[in-house]
Amino acid sequence: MTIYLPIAEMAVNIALIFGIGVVVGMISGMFGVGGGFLMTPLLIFSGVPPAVAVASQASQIAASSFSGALAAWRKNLLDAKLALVLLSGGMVGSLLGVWAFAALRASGQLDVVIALSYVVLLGVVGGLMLRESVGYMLAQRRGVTPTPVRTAGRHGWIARLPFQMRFPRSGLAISAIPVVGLGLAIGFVGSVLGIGGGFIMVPAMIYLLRVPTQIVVGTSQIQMVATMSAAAILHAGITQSVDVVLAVLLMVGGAIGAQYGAAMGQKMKGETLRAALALLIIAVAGRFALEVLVEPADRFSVAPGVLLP
Amino acid sequence: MMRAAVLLLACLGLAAPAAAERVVAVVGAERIAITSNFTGTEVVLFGAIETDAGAPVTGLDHEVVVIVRGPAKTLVTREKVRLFGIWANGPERTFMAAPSYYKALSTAPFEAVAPEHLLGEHEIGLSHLRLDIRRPGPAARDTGTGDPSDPRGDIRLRAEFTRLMGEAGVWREAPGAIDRPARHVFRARAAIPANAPIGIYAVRVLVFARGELVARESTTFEVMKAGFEQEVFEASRRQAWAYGVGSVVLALAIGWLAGALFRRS
Repeated sequence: MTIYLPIAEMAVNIALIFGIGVVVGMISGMFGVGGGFLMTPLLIFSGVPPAVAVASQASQIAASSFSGALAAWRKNLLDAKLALVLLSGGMVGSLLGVWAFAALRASGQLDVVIALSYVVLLGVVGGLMLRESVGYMLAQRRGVTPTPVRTAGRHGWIARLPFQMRFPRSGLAISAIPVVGLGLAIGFVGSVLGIGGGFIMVPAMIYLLRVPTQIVVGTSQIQMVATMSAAAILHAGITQSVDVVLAVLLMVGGAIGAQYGAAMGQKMKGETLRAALALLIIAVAGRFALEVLVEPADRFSVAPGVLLP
Repeated sequence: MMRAAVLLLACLGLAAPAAAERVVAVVGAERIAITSNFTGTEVVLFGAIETDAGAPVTGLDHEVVVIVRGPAKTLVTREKVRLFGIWANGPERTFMAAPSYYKALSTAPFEAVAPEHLLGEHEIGLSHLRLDIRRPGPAARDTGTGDPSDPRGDIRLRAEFTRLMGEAGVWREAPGAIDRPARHVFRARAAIPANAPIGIYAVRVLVFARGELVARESTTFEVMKAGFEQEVFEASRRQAWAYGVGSVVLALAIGWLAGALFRRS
């Protein structure tokens, strides 16, 4: 059964799109990430134009993060002040990202930039995660207790920059510069690549800003709701490529998948989970690497034309 | 240029013999609605050639050409080239206001229907289509073609563009595809694929005899999105920002609903 996507202007198999939503939802529930890094590539590989995939994905991430953020809010597991400061950077980052996206699309290099960015970003993040989790597993096997991740009170030079701020909920007193900078970078990357950036934001907050682990996820989710909502609105206004039919299909599929994923994730050990996620991330990076390294079956393409002034 | 052509046609009309022909044509469907389950369709055009007096023509030398053109769109064709080991888009050409859909159908091979200058004048056949080709990217991206007859590579990229449009099912020439149930009656079919562009399609019917254009007729049909798809598309273009806000509100509502269901279970 097919459904016509009014903005993508193509007919897609409804079961395929819904299935992508369910599978990505399961993975996002299992690992506690947004899953955008997986959803956008899957859509692109199913033939959805990259522009539409990236833009529609933004509103889907807003929906799934909102569920998570609400739950964290009820349990008081988020730092609203930290989220607001991250957000001030995130908004600027999203705006710059959508502009960059529109310019890249007009120049014809959008697909290559998306593919290369995925290779580099996912390759690095996946590689680091794999090394960390496998190292942890090996250390455990040898009977060594791995050193805890967070060393309270020890901050590098980054945190000692000017504009010091206090974040009482996280028990932090650090410079605002790295916080705004992190928000900006992830907002930018998110709106260009159609990812929420949770899988970068969470480790960055833990290792770079030393935010307590239990507060990290909720805080990253609430800021993701705002950044991705802004990205979706900006995409709708500037690139006009948000396909609401596609987004709703993905949201519903994702919400169903996330329920099963969360239950499965609770049964697995943390390090096993991290290693599995790392392998998945590396696999997606590999698929994108093939895309740019292997000679395409058809070297020519046709796209709607925009003449740059 | 245009005026001169009109004047020339008027003179030809005046010079034509008293028993001039005329052609009548109707399309089977004036509106094609793209709904959520649209997978493509076919437009059938029926026509008849008559004498001015209204009697069917009897001669055996009338040939018919039907040209269907979709709305003009500016399209870009790009070629991927290897750059530092990576396949990236290199040379590109923009085709300004090219027909997004083009079908040329006839009752006989084009060369047998009309002389070369008339095929060119009426843009009969893919090779006679007039295209405004621009080079928007920096010239540095163009790799030399090494072909003295096509130094800029325009011809090559045009050929690839034509091939891709053909593969997408939107450009086609089909000489001899018009069938004639009777000598003066003809029927032409044009496939409208699922990815057919939206808009007004112009249909031109040209009747040639003895190497001259003796009668012509034009009509149109419309390919349009219908119902819900139409409304969503219009909203995303006309009220882009409101559409964006609406899609986010919808997203947050679904997110909240999913969360509420989650807690129960």
